Amino acid sequence: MFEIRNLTATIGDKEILHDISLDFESGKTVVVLGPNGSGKSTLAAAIMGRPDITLSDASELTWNGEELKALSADKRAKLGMFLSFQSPLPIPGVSVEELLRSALDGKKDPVVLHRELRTLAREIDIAEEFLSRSIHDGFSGGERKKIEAIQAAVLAPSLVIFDEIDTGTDTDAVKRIAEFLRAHLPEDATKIYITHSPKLIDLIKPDTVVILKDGRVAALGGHDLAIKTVEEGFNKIH
Amino acid sequence: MDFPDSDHYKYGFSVPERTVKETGLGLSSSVVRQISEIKGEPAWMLDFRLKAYGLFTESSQPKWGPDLSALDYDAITYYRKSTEAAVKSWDDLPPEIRETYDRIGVPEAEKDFLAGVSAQYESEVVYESVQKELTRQGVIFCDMDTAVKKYPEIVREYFGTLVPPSDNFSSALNSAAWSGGSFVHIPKGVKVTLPLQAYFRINSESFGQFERTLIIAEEGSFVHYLEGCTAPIYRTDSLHSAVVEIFVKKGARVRYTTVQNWSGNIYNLVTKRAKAEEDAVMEWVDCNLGSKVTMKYPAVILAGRGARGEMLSLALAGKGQHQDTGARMIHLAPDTHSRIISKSISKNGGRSSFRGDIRIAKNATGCSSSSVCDALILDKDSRSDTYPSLSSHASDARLAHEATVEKIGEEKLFYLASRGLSPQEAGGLLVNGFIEPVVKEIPMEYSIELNRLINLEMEGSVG
Repeated sequence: MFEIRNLTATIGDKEILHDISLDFESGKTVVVLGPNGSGKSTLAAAIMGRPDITLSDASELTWNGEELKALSADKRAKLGMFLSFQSPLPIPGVSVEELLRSALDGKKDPVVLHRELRTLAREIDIAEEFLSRSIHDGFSGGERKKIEAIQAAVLAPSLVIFDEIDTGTDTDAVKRIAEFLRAHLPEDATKIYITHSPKLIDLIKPDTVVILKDGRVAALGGHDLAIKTVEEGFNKIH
Repeated sequence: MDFPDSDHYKYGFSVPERTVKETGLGLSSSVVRQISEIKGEPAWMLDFRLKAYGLFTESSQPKWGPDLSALDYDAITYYRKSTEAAVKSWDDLPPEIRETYDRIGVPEAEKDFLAGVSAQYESEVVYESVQKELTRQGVIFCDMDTAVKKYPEIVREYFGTLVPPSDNFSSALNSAAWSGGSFVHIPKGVKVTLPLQAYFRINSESFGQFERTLIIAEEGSFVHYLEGCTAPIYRTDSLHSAVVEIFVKKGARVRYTTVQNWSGNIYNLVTKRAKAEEDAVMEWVDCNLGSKVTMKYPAVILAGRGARGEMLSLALAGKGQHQDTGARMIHLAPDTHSRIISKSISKNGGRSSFRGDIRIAKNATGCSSSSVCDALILDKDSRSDTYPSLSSHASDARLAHEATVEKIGEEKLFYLASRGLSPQEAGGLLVNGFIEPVVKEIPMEYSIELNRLINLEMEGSVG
């Protein structure tokens, strides 16, 4: 169980998220919808612990009873949290394989990892060379997202946030990524998808839908709410 | 973190000095005579030294570049012999010398990779193992002192002709006081498949090491020469002043790789120059990790049509360090090409400077040169400068210069943190990624050590 209580987040002197409280149950799939600038990416980054985001004293983040606020992002990741980035920056000279070797810190044999990555690459339909090239360096939108999804599959997180895993990808790729994640993410993992894509929402069939507007939770519901919102737009929600 | 003074400086050990002969502090013409006499040199070499000493006394330090004011030439012992004669096997070495080399892993490296080891301990080469294959191929690989005695005709023809004593204050000093270093001669058409390696160490307080290396690659030959340096920690300043001269004949190729990790009190002043004749290829791979001050600008004189010169440079400047490095490509012949890739990292107030000097002579048509200088600055106290100098007297030269300055971005660190990497691990990964284009060019045994050193350096530097 992951709980957010009274989350108020500031970047610089600008308050982006205001008093958000949400519960995320293990094994559930959650979709976060909202217009541009509603604070979706900030919410994802705040959960992961981006250092430039300041949380108010009243804000609480607890995971299975453990208080996360004092933990740095790497410590949260070590607990099993994972954030898939909307537009990950290229890292020259570092391949996804090297990155995962460091991230796994000896917990997986490098040879096993090497083979696993090749299998996963075939499955998600990305050429093997992307595993050994500098990560995200000159990759297309779709290639970036596939490499993010592969990392999620290898690290097998128990709380995973996908910040627009669909943007920049074509319809076939969205389907492929969704199926790939369904096959490889741990069943009891909490999955949070930030998305604008009706296609992706159909594919992942969320248990819960959160509508964010102006940094606040505007509505909560099930799959139906997502369909309605996508069809009617955010203006109908108050 | 001040790396050289920290507990992490694994190679910062020293063993008791085992001195047989030394010249005492300071340099004078009588010290120069003494050095030559101890070595039993022919008159022409003594003459060379004395003229060089004269030039040194008249020379002055450059008005540009790093601060050398704390360098006291009178507080240095210019010659110290650590063992009576070169030995043939590891078992013959004095125990404390063996211990030094065991700790930097020379025998291990030898087993796996080496075609031949020339291990310099203080100023005398104490150990040589040149494999039979080299001898069979007619390759000469010995210490410079031996070469003066055994191959005087070749040495006289080339020694000091590419880097004359008059070139600069450091080359004058080296020419007067030189001791040890390597002599390599590759006969026509011979390709040496494994790198030739030499290990240099400074192991005496305030002791200058003045090695002298001469490589001659005859027509169509190939050799990769590799030097790796680590040095013990000492409290007072030490000086390393070296001269390297390389002659690359028609169609030959020489690669010269340096991975250097002098301890943080050493002034490292090196003059390296190569001459590439028709269709010859000269490649410098130069990694400077340690020292207090490094001044080193390897040059390739592209003297024959179609010659190529390459420089891959890596510098890491930490607290109290100034890495003033560069590359010089002198295009004298038509259709010559050069390429420079420089990567520098500055941290904890360290300073790195890169001086690229490209010159194209009037009759050198059809030439091209490209330079890429990337600097990574890890904190606001550190500094990086690039000084490009391009001068072309040929109208059709294609010249490209590109320089970037990068800081380790919060966004990349956060990305790596979200994968579970601590700030140090993330910093190490980013820096190792940054230098990868250079590191991939050096042999595995060195690149692994280099990556590990970078990771140690990152402790306390990021986050």
